Amino acid sequence: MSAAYAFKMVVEQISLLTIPLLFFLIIGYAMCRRVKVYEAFTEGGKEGFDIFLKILPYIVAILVAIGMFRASGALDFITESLAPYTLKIGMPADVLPVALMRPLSGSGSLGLVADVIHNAPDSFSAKVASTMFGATDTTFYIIALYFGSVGIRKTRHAVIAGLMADLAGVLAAVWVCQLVFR
Amino acid sequence: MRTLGAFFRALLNINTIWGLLILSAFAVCMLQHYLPTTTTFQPGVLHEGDNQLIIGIKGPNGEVQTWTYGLTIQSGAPVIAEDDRATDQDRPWLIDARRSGNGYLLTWDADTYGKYTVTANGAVVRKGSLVTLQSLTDAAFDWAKVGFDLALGLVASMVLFLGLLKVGEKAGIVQLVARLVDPLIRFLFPEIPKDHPAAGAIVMNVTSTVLGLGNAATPFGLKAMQHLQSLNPNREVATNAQVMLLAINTAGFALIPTTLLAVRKSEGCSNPFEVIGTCMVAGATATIVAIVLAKLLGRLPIFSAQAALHEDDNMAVADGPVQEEAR
Repeated sequence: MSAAYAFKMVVEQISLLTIPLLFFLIIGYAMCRRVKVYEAFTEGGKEGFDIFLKILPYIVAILVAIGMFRASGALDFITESLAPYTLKIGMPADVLPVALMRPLSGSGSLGLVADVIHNAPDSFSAKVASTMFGATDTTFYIIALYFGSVGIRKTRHAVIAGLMADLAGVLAAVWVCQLVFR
Repeated sequence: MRTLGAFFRALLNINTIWGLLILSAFAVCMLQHYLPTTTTFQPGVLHEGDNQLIIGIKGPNGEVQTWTYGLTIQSGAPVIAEDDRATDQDRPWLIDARRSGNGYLLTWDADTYGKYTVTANGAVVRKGSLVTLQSLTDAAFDWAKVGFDLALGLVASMVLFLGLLKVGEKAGIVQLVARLVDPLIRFLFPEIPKDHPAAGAIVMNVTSTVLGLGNAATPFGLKAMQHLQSLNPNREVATNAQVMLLAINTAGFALIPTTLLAVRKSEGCSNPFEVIGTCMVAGATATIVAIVLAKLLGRLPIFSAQAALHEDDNMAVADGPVQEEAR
């Protein structure tokens, strides 16, 4: 059994326990403090639907723009023009679309990663693409969701900080994969 | 210097990025809609005499359709059959074929869109995507629907975890957690007052993200955002604390990338788990960069809350921040 597999089993067990334990601890502690748990739960839950109405326009706006951008094939053009430069830093050509798609679309980039893995499951490219996907989250969706839910329109330095973190994740993925898998 | 700052702020504005995504999508789509597709055949793929050419297109409904064409090469010059040029039949049509170097260049076009594969004499020559204006229209409606489904899908887990959080707040357990992690919160979110419930929600958000519990992470994160908004003097401008929370979430550090491992397993990697370590290193790097940038960039004058507040001043916006200041 490899160390990575053992680590995964341990973390999986913790993840499995977290939610049930959270319910048990919070409800148990609250009952000891004589909180009216059922009433408190429904009172908090009421806000759930308001959030749907608040985030809907933001989520639809960002997904439609990204969906149209993806459908247009503009990404292929950017990939082709960037490919010579990314090869120089040791990034395999077929993982560049993954790096570009990652901040835009979670499902889109996962599909691209699956393509790279499908073509050659144990290749260096497959490992770099996987690491890139696992390193960061979908920046634009998160910005729309989190800021949309409270009606913030002036995002200040959030976009640049998020995109720079994505870039750092991509570069770190290439670097660490070269160190470990080459 | 001021114009440069204003330019950068305008470029990194969400309105600019959003608009540019749509404009560039339209421009690239128009080009491909009205220009035919070109396929290059390397030397040796086509030979003298009759060649069999197959164009396969995976259309919008996910079905793959294939059409067969004949391409005859007579002493080096390719000839297209008159039938294959016809544009009124329900299939892609060939426009032109000519020699280029030692290979050949074929131009063709189709009415439909999707992923295409060109095969010559049984060998795949090129894979690519066909784009028409219809693909843009379909994408707009499809993704609006995806957005609706995503937002709707959030409601159930929002109700569940916001309810649980309320119970925790009433019992004082959220404030207890907030006190436990106070030193860390002081460093990352200096604006949050001591024992504020925002700190508790942030901790639960980050913990769920790290453990890969996306369903729980989002409700906690949105609740934390709401708490931070109650501390925000300008309701439309993000505070430093809100940008920090967002930066941590966009980096999204997770110990185990669950969905990724599932895909690696199903696509046949001999060791799906070998990337866990590299994901952690790259993810930690991204998170550190996100935190440092969220801290440092907020101090730059072009990203200050004041500058953001006056962004609308030179635009014609009726409900600008002016009235708010007068209040």
